[in-house]
Amino acid sequence: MKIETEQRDNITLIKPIARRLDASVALRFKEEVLAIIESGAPALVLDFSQVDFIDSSCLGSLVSLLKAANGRSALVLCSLNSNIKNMFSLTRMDRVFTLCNSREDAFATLSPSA
Amino acid sequence: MPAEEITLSADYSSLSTLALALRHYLTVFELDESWVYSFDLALCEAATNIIRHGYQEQPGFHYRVRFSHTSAAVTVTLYDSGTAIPELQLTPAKSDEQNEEVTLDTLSESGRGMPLIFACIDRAIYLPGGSENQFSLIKQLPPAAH
Repeated sequence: MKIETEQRDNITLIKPIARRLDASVALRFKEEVLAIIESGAPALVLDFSQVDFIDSSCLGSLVSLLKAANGRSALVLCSLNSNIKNMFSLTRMDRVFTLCNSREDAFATLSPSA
Repeated sequence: MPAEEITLSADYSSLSTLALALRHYLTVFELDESWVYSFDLALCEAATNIIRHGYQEQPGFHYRVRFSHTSAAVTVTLYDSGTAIPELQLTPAKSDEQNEEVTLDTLSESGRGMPLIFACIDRAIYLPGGSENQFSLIKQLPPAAH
């Protein structure tokens, strides 16, 4: 799994390049994003546009990241496919995560004027 | 189409092979992606459970997977010789638990695998055994696929 990052003003875009985020990559995914949070990034967008599938291990990693970001960084998820969105709904994770349809929506949500 | 069976190394790298095998087996039914995704997710969770809890991520173990179907449903059965799933975890969550408030403080990082399995398939049969555990995941085919 490769992770691409991009900086736009004070927002860090993080894009995992992997069709499947399952237990084989969940720990590495968590550690790489955690390092970005701990580096002091004030706002993060996790872009799932390249991801077709996530499992509960990845959901667990995301919960861990949200807890780590709490009070330090704003965290928004974007570009989830309909099946992944359904999984968030099923596990009620849609009640604690901010989900945006697109990268631009996510940037707008995090921008100071929003 | 006859039943198919594969044996996989009990490590996380097997999960992508397992998903490919499932999707290959299901190709003939021309199913909607949401149907396939939910079965893929249930199977991934069941296999992860074997690797993580059954074999405690120890190397050198294997699990078998058998794909079969009738005119009405697809069944995938996993066989392993690790620690059996505790009976308590084999009970689907009650509806009132689903309505409990979710907050970040109370949110757990784990424990969603079995509930997801129950949510994604129609029937689960777990048979713990002295030498081998069997976990069958059964999902009804949509009418158009019969």
